[in-house]
Amino acid sequence: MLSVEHVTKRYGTFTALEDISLTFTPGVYGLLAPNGAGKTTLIKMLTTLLFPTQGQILWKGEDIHALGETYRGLLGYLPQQFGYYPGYTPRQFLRYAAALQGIPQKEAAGRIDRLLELVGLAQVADKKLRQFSGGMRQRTGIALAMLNDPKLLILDEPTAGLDPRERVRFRNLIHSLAAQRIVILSTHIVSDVETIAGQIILLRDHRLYCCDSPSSLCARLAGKVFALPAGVPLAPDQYLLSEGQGEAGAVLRVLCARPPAQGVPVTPTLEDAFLAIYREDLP
Amino acid sequence: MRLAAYEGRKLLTLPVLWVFLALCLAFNGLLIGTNLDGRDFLNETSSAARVLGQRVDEGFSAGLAQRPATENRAVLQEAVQGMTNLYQDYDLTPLSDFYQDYVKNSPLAARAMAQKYDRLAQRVDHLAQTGADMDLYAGPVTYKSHQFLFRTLLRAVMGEGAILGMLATLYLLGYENLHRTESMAYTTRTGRRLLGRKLGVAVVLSLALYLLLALVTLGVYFALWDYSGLWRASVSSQFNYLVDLLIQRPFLTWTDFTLAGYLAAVLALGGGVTGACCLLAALCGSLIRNTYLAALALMLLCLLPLAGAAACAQGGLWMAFYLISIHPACLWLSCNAWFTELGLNALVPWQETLGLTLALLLLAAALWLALRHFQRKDMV
Repeated sequence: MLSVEHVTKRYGTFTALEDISLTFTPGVYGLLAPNGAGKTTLIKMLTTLLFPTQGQILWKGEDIHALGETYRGLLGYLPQQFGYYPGYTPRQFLRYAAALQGIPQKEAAGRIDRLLELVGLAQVADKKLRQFSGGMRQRTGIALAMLNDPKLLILDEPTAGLDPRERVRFRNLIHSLAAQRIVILSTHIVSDVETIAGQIILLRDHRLYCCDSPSSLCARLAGKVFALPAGVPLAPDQYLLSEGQGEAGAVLRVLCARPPAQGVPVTPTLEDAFLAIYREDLP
Repeated sequence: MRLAAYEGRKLLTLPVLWVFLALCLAFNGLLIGTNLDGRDFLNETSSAARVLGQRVDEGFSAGLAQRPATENRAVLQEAVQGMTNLYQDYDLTPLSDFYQDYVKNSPLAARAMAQKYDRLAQRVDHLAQTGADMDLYAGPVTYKSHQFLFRTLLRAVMGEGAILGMLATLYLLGYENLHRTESMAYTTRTGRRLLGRKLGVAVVLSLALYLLLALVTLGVYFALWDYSGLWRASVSSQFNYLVDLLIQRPFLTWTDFTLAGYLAAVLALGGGVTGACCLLAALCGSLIRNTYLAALALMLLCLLPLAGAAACAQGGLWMAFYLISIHPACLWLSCNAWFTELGLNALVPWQETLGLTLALLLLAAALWLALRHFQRKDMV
């Protein structure tokens, strides 16, 4: 079990995160927030790249920095910007990572073959990484994050730069990896997490807003989201969530307390909840 | 070991490393190729000494007279006929007085100078007893060949080795930053200890590259210049001397050195200077994440002490001058006179050795602190 206890991170006078407390048990957690909200800061503290200004992060009751290599040995991390050695093949790069993880050579060879098969790179295992597309490199990163069979898998913006087909492939992969593991998926793309995350963590104003299931978050907006035809002027108490295409043309999804004229009630989605929570007119 | 092999591979597969090494060797080859004056004389002298020995006595002179009559033999005969027992009555007082007066702004420095030359006087007595001044070395071409080997060629080799070592260290330490793999590397089981592993590999490979430079360069040099009869010569032969502040004095070392021993000692100390430069580069590389900025800082750290030493000497700030002189760059500058009294450049015997040892200890301590700081540094 991973617990974050009253963690604050400050850089001089700027507070990146304030008094965050969370507990993680096996399952998939979506860390959802707009850019600049502090997701990567939290991720980097969980992965020991940053040190909390206040508070502590514990793994099974022990401080993760005191645990040192023991904690890092059960951690798998795909950073937001996945760096690589262009002249290496994925097999060579994974071998190097295995050396960094202290995995014996023979054992590493078998694991690497299985992981490359799992992420669909077995056929190109000996091609140079510089020849790979963004999606292929990202899959290499996932294989690397899984190399030490981590108990805690942290993926920071893992679908950035992936096409829709690769996004779906990625979601399926994460879903299959989530058994008996804590998976924390940090993203600002709602569709990445709405079908696979059991819990959604939302950050707002550098604080924890909530940690709840997707259905609970959507339930908060029940009866408050309506579809309006495009072109209908919005009243002051109506907030535009998004625009889209319906069967009869362009449609507006709006948030309002009372049913608007010409409005059709719709089932709130996680995206609606995200847009409602992070709307700009909120104090 | 596996990790060390991977880190070593990163360095050894860097094309620019081998290009730079080749350019250094080409430059050294050029130095050797454009300094062939006196080669015939030295080779003939060496050949004679191989048969007759290095000590010039009646037997030597007689043996020399038996050798084939050549112009070189005639020159050598004239030179050995003019040899005297240099150290018998050699007085260091004028030299001591000169340097004490030079550094008189600092009473402490003046006192230390006096003590240094008092110690040196004991060495002169010892050398007089051993008769080292009567060693031939290379006869009248001794000074030129000695200075070319140690001031020109070996200084070039040491400088190149130091530069290669510093660049290799900076490159290896900054590798993960350059490839944006820090987040991957420092969150593994090895974690931030990787920096220490990289440092170890960088120092070992830098010393290996220095050794390679020295072996190839000296290999070419000694293939052209026959030193086989000169190795057992005392470097304190009366044909060898130093010039400092326009004053010529014998090549007086703090212990007895044959040429072979002196060469080995200089190469070893040169390796120490290379190691010190690597540690300096590692200090910059571990404190400054951006490799290019670290290189700039390193360049300043190498050049500023040289400027500082010159400024202190100009300003008569002698104790500051001698403190700065332990910097590897300052040590490198005086490499042609290592293990001698070093003239103005030393206050105490074996200053280059003591200075390098102190520099290595200080750099190691600073680096240990830097690596500890790195363990707690935010990887933003």
